[in-house]
Amino acid sequence: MDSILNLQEIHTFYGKSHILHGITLAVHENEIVCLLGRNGVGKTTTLKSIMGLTPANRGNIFFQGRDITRIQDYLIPRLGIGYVPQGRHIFPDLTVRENLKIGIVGNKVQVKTYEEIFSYFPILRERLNQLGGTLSGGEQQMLALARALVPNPTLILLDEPTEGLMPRMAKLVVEIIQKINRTGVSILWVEQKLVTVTEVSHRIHLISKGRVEYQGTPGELIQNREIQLRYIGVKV
Amino acid sequence: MMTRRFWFLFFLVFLILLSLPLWGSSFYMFLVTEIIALSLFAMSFDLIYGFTGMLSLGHATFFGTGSYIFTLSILHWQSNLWVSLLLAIIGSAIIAWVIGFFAVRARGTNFIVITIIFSLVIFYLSFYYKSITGGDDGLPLKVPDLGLGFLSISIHDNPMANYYLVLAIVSLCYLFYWRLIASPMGRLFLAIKSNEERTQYIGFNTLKYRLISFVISGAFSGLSGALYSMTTHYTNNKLLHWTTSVDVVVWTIVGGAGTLIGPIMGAWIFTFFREFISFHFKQYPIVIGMVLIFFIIFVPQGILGYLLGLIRRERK
Amino acid sequence: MSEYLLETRLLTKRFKGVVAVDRVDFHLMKGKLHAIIGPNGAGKTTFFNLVTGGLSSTEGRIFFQNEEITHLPSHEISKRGVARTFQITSIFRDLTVKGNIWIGALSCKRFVGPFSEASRILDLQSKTEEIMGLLNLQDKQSVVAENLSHGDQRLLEIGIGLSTEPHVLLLDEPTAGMSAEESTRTAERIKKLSEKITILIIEHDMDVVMGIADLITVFDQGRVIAEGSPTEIQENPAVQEVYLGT
Repeated sequence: MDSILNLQEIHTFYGKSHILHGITLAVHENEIVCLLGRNGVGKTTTLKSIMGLTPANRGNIFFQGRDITRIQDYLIPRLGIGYVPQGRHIFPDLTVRENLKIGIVGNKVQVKTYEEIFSYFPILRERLNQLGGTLSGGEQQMLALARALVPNPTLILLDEPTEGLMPRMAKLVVEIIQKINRTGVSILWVEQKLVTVTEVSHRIHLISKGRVEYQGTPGELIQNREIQLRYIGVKV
Repeated sequence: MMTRRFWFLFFLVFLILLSLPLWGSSFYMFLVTEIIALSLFAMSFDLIYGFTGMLSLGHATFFGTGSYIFTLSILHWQSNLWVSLLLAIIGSAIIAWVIGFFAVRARGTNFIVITIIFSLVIFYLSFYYKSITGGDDGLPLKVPDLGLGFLSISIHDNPMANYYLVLAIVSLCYLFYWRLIASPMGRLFLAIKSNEERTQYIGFNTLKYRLISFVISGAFSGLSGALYSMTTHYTNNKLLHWTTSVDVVVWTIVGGAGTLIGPIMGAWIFTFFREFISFHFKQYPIVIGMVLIFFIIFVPQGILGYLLGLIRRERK
Repeated sequence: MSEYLLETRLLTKRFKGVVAVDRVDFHLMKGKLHAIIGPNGAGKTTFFNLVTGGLSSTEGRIFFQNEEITHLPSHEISKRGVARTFQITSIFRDLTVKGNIWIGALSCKRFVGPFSEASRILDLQSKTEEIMGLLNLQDKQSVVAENLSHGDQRLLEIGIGLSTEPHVLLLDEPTAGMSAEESTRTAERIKKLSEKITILIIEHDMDVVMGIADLITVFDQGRVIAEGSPTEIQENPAVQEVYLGT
């Protein structure tokens, strides 16, 4: 299996604040890889470094074999990487239709048609002309995912996609993500709650203080209560 | 800045100024008197901008108000020079208190807008009440004699006396500012400029201190307006105009904010420039604009800031 | 009630549709090192902001040393002896280390005048020296704060808080952006400080929290869900569930 995404010893700073202390991980084709850890450990920063929003100061990021570490942030999505940020960040003053169209801007690739989008997110069909800000939390999450999906990405980065959603909605979102993955899209998923991703991920990395401290399959991790408590829970 | 080199330069300049009437022509003496009065305006602006971090684009309000109070009190009310100067200071302080009360509750752009609005309102009022203010025709005035105990010195007909009076007053003001900067209050102004939120979380009511800074600045700006009119024997509402507000900003940025002396240098440079270039080149404001843009982009610390930076690097 | 330095009763903060802090009853005892932990969006920083006057509460009351401070502005609360640091370092970047601490020390003076010479005020000078010594920053006293290392900047921020002679020190993620080694050193420093002053700390670093806290309060979705010693919290199943989602 080839690796779609490869992070090697990434160090990222916010000004003088040293957040990532050498992140190394890989996402292989068609995989769902999860990054788990408490808040403040650098999960979101890892995704932001890949997207060029907070560029890595040291280390390298490879996408499909190409070094994208220093590429400017607005060019990265055009390479085929979709990003669904924490808190969704859809455009509240634009309609659903307009939010989706933004996903096309600057792209020369073959984009998904509305029908294809609705096959994943039927609920958006009814909301096409509604303002993004009037959607419910779950619907906004759908929209954020759809927007990232429009330019047919090869890899999608998700940051806590089920945060703040009701259990029923959260389950739906996870199902849709699985569906997307089955069509050949690789996924890098940042999450805080282990239980959300145990059934769907292929591999899980545990991050603590800006470093990957553990790597394994969900099966392995579930057995290891100690590791769970140490890196996700409150045990030391 | 308390190096021997600084003191030497400082006293040299002061000596030159002190002796100017003895060797300078009356034209230069008049020009320099004007500039010294404007220097007080520059210093007062630096107090709120370079030391407290508030950019006002309406400071002409206080300069012009001081000038008008001084002039009108002489024309219509009494003829004591000290009283008129005092009234100019007090009047400007009150106006600064009123404007400041609203302005300091705003930050950044909103603060600037408030200073501009008050400035425009007062400028237009000066046109509306043209009968009192003379509008842009202005009002000529006869400066009363200076009473020092039983001595009475003519100021109006004695440019040299005028010169020394302005120099003395502005020098005292400079000393005052110098002490203020070195005082706890001065340090507090700098802290507010550096990080206002942090200063609040240490326990200081930053609104109160910003207002104090604003009022002191306004009061002395008013005094400088009064001294200016005393020298030119004239006032008009150009002194309230926004271009006068911009002038003091330009002097400060080009000269170097936060140094007291930088803005004074700016006042000297630009007044001389205007005096000698406007003759040959009617569109000289364009040049001033280009110079300002150049400094903002490449030398934001101003001339003096740049020189101080060089000295610091040389020391290492 | 009298032994509580800081107390909140049914403290609530509502934003548009979101309840960030939900009827929180909180007690901080004098002399303790008390930690607040909780997953993302639990309301910890909002709680700090409410208690220090940075945000106004929707409902509920806040007491400091038995005096109600619910609607006081931040500078009034600071004057009463509450010092806080921020998650993103907030210091006077263009002043020197000494200058930074001096301003904090100045806050204890009732009158800030325009006439005396700042550098000659002896008691402020000695207080500044003392605080710098406490945090081992005296060798860097003339360094402009902007040029300090991240760890020293975080330390300076604590120093500014200390120089105001507070009754309580509120630290918001003091080890944010630090390596594991630096975090450990900072934790030791904080533990040492707690011998002299009451400290309330928000932290995500469990090694730090479990290592130094006397008491831990766990927030989730704006509510307090558990409170106890480090051992109790580590064994608490409700807390595990909140973090692990199991």
